[in-house]
Amino acid sequence: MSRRPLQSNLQSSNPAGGLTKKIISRDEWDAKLAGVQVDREDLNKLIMNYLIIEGFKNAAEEFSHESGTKPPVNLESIEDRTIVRKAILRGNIEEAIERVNDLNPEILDTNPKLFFHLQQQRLIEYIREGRIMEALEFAQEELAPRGEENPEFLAELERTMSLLAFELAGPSPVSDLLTPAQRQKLASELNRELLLSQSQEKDPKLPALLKMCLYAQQQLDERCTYPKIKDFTKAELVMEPMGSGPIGGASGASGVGA
Amino acid sequence: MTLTPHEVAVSQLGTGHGIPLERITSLRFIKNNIIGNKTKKNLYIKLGILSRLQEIVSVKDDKDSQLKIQAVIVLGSFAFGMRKKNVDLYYPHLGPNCGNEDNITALTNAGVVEPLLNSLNPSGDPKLIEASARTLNAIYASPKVSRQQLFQGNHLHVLVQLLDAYSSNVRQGQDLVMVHTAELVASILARCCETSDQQMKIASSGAIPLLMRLLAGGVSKTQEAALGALAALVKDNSELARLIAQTRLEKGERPAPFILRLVRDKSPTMRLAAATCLTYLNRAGVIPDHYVDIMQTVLPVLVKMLLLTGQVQETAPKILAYLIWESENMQKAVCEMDAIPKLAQIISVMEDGDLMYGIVDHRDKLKENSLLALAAISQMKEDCRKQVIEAKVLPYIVTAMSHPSVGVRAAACQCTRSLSRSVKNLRTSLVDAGIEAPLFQLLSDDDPGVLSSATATLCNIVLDVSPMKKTIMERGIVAKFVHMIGYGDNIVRLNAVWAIKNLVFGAPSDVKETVMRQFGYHNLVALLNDGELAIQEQALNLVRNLACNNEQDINQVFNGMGSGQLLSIIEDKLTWDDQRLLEHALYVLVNIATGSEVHKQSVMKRPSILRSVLSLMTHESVAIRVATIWVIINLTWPDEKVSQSLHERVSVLRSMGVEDRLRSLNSDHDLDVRDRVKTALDHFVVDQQQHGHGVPTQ
Repeated sequence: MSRRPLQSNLQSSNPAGGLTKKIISRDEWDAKLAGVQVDREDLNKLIMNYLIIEGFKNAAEEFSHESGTKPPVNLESIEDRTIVRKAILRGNIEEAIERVNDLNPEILDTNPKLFFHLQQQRLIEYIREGRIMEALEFAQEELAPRGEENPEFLAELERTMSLLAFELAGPSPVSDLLTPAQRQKLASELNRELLLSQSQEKDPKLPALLKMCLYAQQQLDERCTYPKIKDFTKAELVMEPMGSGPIGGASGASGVGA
Repeated sequence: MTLTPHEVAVSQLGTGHGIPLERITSLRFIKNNIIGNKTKKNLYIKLGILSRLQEIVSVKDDKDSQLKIQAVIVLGSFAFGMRKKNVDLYYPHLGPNCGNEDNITALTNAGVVEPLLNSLNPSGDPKLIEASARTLNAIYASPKVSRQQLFQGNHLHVLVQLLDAYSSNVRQGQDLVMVHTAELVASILARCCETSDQQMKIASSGAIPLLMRLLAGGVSKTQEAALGALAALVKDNSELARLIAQTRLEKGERPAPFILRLVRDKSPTMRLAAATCLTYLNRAGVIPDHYVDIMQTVLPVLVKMLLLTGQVQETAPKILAYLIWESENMQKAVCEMDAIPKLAQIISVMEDGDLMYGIVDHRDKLKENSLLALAAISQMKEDCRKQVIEAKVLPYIVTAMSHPSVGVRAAACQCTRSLSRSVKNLRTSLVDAGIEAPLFQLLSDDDPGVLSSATATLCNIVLDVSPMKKTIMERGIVAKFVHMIGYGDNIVRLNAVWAIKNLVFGAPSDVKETVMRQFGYHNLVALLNDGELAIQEQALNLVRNLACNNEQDINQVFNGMGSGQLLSIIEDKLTWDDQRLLEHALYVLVNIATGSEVHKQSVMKRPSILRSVLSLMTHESVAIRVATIWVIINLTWPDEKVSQSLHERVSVLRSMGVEDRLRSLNSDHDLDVRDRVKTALDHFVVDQQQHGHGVPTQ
């Protein structure tokens, strides 16, 4: 939807891609933007969609009060997912597994990969806590059979086991397994499955729209100079000086809404 | 000896334990141990947990639903397999879902199905209903489980009531549970809807409007499940297909355009579910207005799925095959979308990969379905067959003919069957690819489907006067056909007779003689009186092919069957009201009438045959009218050497009114008939000129 005015500009730009780029002034741009009708309600829905899928229950409640946007799902289901996510981020994998099994016992029985990742994280947590005997026992009893059933898991299991060979605090080729990012990754994987099981979309729409916007700007950069958004957290339109090349790799998208 | 925590947990489930809380704690402990863990599932089954669980779920008391709920969930976990969650969940009829077959058998043997069905009672705890539906759905994933109980008593009625998730009397806060239960029930119904009897029972229990409401409801998983159930109801059932195509959704829309939008959904499983449903509706011929939509939307969506992975990629080629079967236009369209290289890629790449545990089933199914799609695409169009050959996939098809999986063998054979319909030079490439040995092997296959495809392929391949005819005869093909005719099902028997017929088609006299020595004329006579009309027809066609070409061949048949018996059979067939039977019988006469004076006389001595021919001259079918005239032409063929008997034959026919009948056919609307009539009348005219009497009456 927000792509439309950009597209019409694309068509009016010089198709031959000559040396001179077309310049669109700030006034022209503002006038075009003003001509686009964006429904306030649609914007609110987008934000609500983001808050629900990312699991911000309180924010979603607040937002619902302030904007009058009705949440499309039961907000309790957000809370369930939040509890699971928090348990994982704390490293309490057992609690997370029990929660998921209470919410929907089908999920872990039908997703061997996700189940393996949860068990792998349990192993990582044992090793992190220095409970080596338990780690070995757990790997043998719980993880090895899963590896036998699905050989694709074996490499990951081996990699995890090699944590035992290194100093935990020091640098190692497997130190990434001990970072918070590892727990984050698992929490997101599980969150996606929970969303799917609740017939919800697994990804919020907002980041996809921002990516689309970024892509459109990149396309446009080759053809004209125009007021563009350089910093997505500020969303200010900036007119670029003439002659500068396209700007790549803007990474503002992940910062929005956090 | 100390007990393991698992043994303790099982022992605490016994009815002797009065403290419900402790039993619930044990069940939760067990649940969290077995979910996702195949080893632990097996362990607990060995510890005898199933009978304990059966006792708990069979208790009539509804006060303590918590205990029951946990027990039902634990039962469900035993039924779940190791395979990734998949669309098969909703499409039982597309192939076996790889649940945990052994465990499911253990569950049904423990007698849990009936108490689970009883737990669906709508006045009970919604959480218990949801859990029971989930567990039943997992159990019915196995095609081996009997569906009988579900159709007994009140169960079906209760299930259908549970589809009503959007009714106004849903309790506050329970809406999510209700919708999820409806999803599970729709899936159960899809799985228990395999025979037309089951289809009719489910339909008449009022499921259709409720499924429609779920379809329009907007909860994606539930929509998919509803599509699955609707697809199962309309598959090969034109009555229900028509009924469903003509109902209206709540906003007044017909289902087809609504489902068509779901074919473009973001989720691949939804797209597949929608495409499947439309495929069945289309094959039932009830949505002719959507022909363009099928061509422009459904076909490309299915073709693109070939590039995905997992269950969607696995199932899509099978649906595609079903959709385009017998539609030349669709086959052409799919061919133009480059489906053939994509399928060839799937089939050939798989060959090189190493086998992995757990996904063997998936690989076999993917290969089977891809071969079926290739078979369907090359069913009718020569261009498409050429593309298949050019995709260099033939060696893989030939290898697949010896695959351990019956389904793959049958599909590969189906492919060769389609390809063998081709013009001669492509058929030669089949022979060059080494099809002969595996094909011959398949003639001993236990599976009737494989057997019938194999014989059908052979039918086409032996049609040519090719070196293969000789080599396969040396392999003892005729004995094999004789065996099939004696022991096969009717399709196999039919194809076997068909193959023999093709084997002797245009063959030299010595080949015919060798075939018939092995086949035996007594067997042929038996087939001419077979209970299956189609087989009689092929047998008559075989006689027609045998008695064709020259006097020696006709003599062979006369000697083999005895001319009296042969003509009595023909005499009988000419009184049947079956067009193809009549046509073949007439052409046997046509062939005999090309023979010697003895052959011609044998026909002339049968007044009832001649009367039948005369009356069939005005048959409504052009083909039969033409055949009768050919009989007359051959019986009156000018021949100096036998002028006296020729004149006698013409006179007899004239006195029967044949010439008059011919004249009346002069104004036949069919050109072919008129041309033949002209030739036949010429014979009568020539006779009249030479002998000067026998002026036709007006």
